Amino acid sequence: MKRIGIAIIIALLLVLAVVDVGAQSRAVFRTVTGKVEIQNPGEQSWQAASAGMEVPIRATISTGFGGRAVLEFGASTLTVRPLTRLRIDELSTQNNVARTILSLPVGRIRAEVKSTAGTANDFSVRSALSTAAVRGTGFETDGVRLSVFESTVAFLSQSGISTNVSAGETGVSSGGGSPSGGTDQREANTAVNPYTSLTGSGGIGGGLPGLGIGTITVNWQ
Amino acid sequence: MKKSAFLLARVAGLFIAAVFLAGCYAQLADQKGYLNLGLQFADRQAPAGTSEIIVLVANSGYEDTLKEMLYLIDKGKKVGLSGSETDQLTTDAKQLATSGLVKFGGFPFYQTTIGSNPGSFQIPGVPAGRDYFVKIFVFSPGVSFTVEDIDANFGGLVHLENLVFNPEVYTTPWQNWTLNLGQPVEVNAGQSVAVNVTLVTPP
Repeated sequence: MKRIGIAIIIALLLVLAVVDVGAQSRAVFRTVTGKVEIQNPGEQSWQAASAGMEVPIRATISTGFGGRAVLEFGASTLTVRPLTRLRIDELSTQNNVARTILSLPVGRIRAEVKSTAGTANDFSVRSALSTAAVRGTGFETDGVRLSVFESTVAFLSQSGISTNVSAGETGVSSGGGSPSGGTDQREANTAVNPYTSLTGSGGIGGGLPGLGIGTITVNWQ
Repeated sequence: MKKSAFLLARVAGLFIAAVFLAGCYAQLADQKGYLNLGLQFADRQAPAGTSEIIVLVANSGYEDTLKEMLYLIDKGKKVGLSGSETDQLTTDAKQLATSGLVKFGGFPFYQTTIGSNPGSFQIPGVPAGRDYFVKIFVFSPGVSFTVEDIDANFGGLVHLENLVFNPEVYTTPWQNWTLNLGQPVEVNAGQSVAVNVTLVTPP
């Protein structure tokens, strides 16, 4: 009788584990705008996506010129921008860690990764040049540039060199070397010259202290 | 005017309306951001035989943003934009205007005039140690226009431009655009770097 009780408990635990995996292992279109198509694994044809449609693992999503889609992965959401191709490589939950791996050959996505109670996230987006790996944050990437709007993202080059990119910052990966990111990249992006004077037709002089200035001569025909 | 055209013109106006501010010698303190359509502008007309131009000097780190913005502007002129595309165009323009473009006198562009024959002009005061794209918009010669005209007919006012990318038309995804020869240019402290451009009728 005792053995039967233990067997029932084990069976219940297995069922709960399956339910847990099943809850995370789904990606569903929440909204679809414009031309959005899905190619199921093993199929050559594409079919139009619609709100509420489930996206199986290894499926590829393609958006057209004006196409845009929002997918739900448990509590997390993923916005797929126009002219993007995205594949869902893995959706699983093990040991209370929800693991999501996406491939982004081309295009741009925005992810908001949120955890449910008692479950951590291991969410990553891979491109030919970089991998953005996050745990409970929000970011946007096209595989080369990474913009973070919440928390911190580990930004890895293809050679595995990592740079942390925090909220409000951007990172850029060229593939093999160390990705630029954080304060250095933010300054590189934003430190343009706001101090040129307003004289005649255009600015003269100024420049940020220590950066120096130069001149562009435009030869036009 | 169609809503999409109006919104497109608003984005274009982000850059262009400030030309009028510069031309009218408006006080910087009176402006909010780079666009203040509440001000009264006088008509502006280039001297005889010349054309007004604005030059965007864009940090090369913003290549994708610049591509996408040019793509959406071209698409907007030819077939119109969806709501999401208009939002994206606005986002791109704001991102460029606030952090991706070199500012001259507080404005995110350089403004001057050119004649009808090939020539050259200089853009001084560019932060050194970076690479830049140079995008030129030439307005129709001898045209007198107001802010209202810009809102109504940006495409009609741009007479010539240089193409930074190939092919730089919306019929090809901007992700596939490649750089034209000579772009971008690296600016070094205390030096002048030349960029050769060919002005063409917008494709």
